Amino acid sequence: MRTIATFFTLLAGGACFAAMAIAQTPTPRPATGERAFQRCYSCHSLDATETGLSGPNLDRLIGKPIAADRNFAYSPAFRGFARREKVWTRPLLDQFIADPEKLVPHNSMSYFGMKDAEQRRALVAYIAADR
Amino acid sequence: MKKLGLIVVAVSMFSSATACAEEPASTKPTANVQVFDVTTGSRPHDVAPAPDGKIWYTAQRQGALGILDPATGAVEQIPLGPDSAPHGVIQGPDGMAWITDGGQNAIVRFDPATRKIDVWKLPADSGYTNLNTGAFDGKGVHWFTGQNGIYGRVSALDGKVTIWKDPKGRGPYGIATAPDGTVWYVSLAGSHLARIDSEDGSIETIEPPAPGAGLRRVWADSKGDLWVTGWNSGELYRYRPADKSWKTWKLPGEAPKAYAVYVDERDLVWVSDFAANATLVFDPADESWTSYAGSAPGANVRQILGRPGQIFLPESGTDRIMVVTTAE
Repeated sequence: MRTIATFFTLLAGGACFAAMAIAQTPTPRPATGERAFQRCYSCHSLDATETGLSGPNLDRLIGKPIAADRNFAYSPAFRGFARREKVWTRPLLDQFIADPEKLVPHNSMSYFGMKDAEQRRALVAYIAADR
Repeated sequence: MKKLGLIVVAVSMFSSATACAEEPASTKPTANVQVFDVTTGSRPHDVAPAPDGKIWYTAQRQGALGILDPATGAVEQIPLGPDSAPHGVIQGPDGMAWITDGGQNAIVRFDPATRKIDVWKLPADSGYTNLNTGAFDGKGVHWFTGQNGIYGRVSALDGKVTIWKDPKGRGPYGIATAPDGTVWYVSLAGSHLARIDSEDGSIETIEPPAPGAGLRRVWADSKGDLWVTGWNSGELYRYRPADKSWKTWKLPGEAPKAYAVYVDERDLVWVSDFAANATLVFDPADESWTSYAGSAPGANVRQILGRPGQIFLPESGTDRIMVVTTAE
């Protein structure tokens, strides 16, 4: 598990990326992203060494190919999505978090979307902070 | 809503687990199966018997409690509140629907007689707990799990909610009550079984035979043995509290993903397998498996419950509920 010190270091890095990627929008407060990630926390980890959860690992997700966690058995829906889209980008991740079923119909994830755009920006920044 | 109608299906019989990786050795109709459409997009997650022969389901994607009348196929959905995303539902000793509502971070109760809805929010400092499933202990107290790492109880008398942290953090998932009234839960990420002391809320954790098995759901049979699914391991486990022993059976097929488990009144064990897109019935007496295929690809049965003579299989991936009649 990440230490608190590592967490804040990564968070600071993530804020820079967020500022570059989402111009004209306020930089989310770091704590908001961590809080938003609680919706993902039970099934996903940002720690590359943490495997065996019920969802794929999200370490360094931005820029990675879709469905690239070798330790995870993706649903047919996600494997099909990986053939249509090559890599995770911030806008694509935002789109997915907003309505997973709309972007990847019949995926197996038991989460149905984050409506609040501000929360999503914070969450994307938090996940991207590991890059 | 449209009732798809009574379908007599061919179910696959397997004589042993080793034979199951191949095509079924024999096939014969053994049960009546009905498939009901529920509200499109509802993604029914859990089900429970409701009064008057009806079936409750959690419409997780639409923030509602669904009510299916299998006699007519009629479906009604009761909105549960803003941001609702209900996961589990069970019928309480009061005859009401008790719902673990992850979206509202609350235990929600629906009274089918008055249609009154009670919402008991978790303490503000608990954060988002990803509420999962509930069960009643022998004294009628409602216990629940939260997948972000908690378990707890709520008092219907004063609405007081008490939560405890699981010692291994995230993962608390399925929860069930044994015939002696003891409540047990399993942790998916923590891969342990836990026995709750309902007096003081403390738990005793028990490790499964396979580390990292990913214990997803648990149910008790009539003798008090606990049946547990291993999501990561693809195994079915039986834990016998009387002598603290485990026994393991691998599900048929390649790379099975064991999700839901339920033990019916005949002590037959129903297990859903995402990889096979099927629900399996395991008979401990002869260790045979019978398979009920999903009504369509990606049925994704995440929980199983029923009443004597009937088994309910909510297909979260097809927005349908399959009802298997088992009575002679």
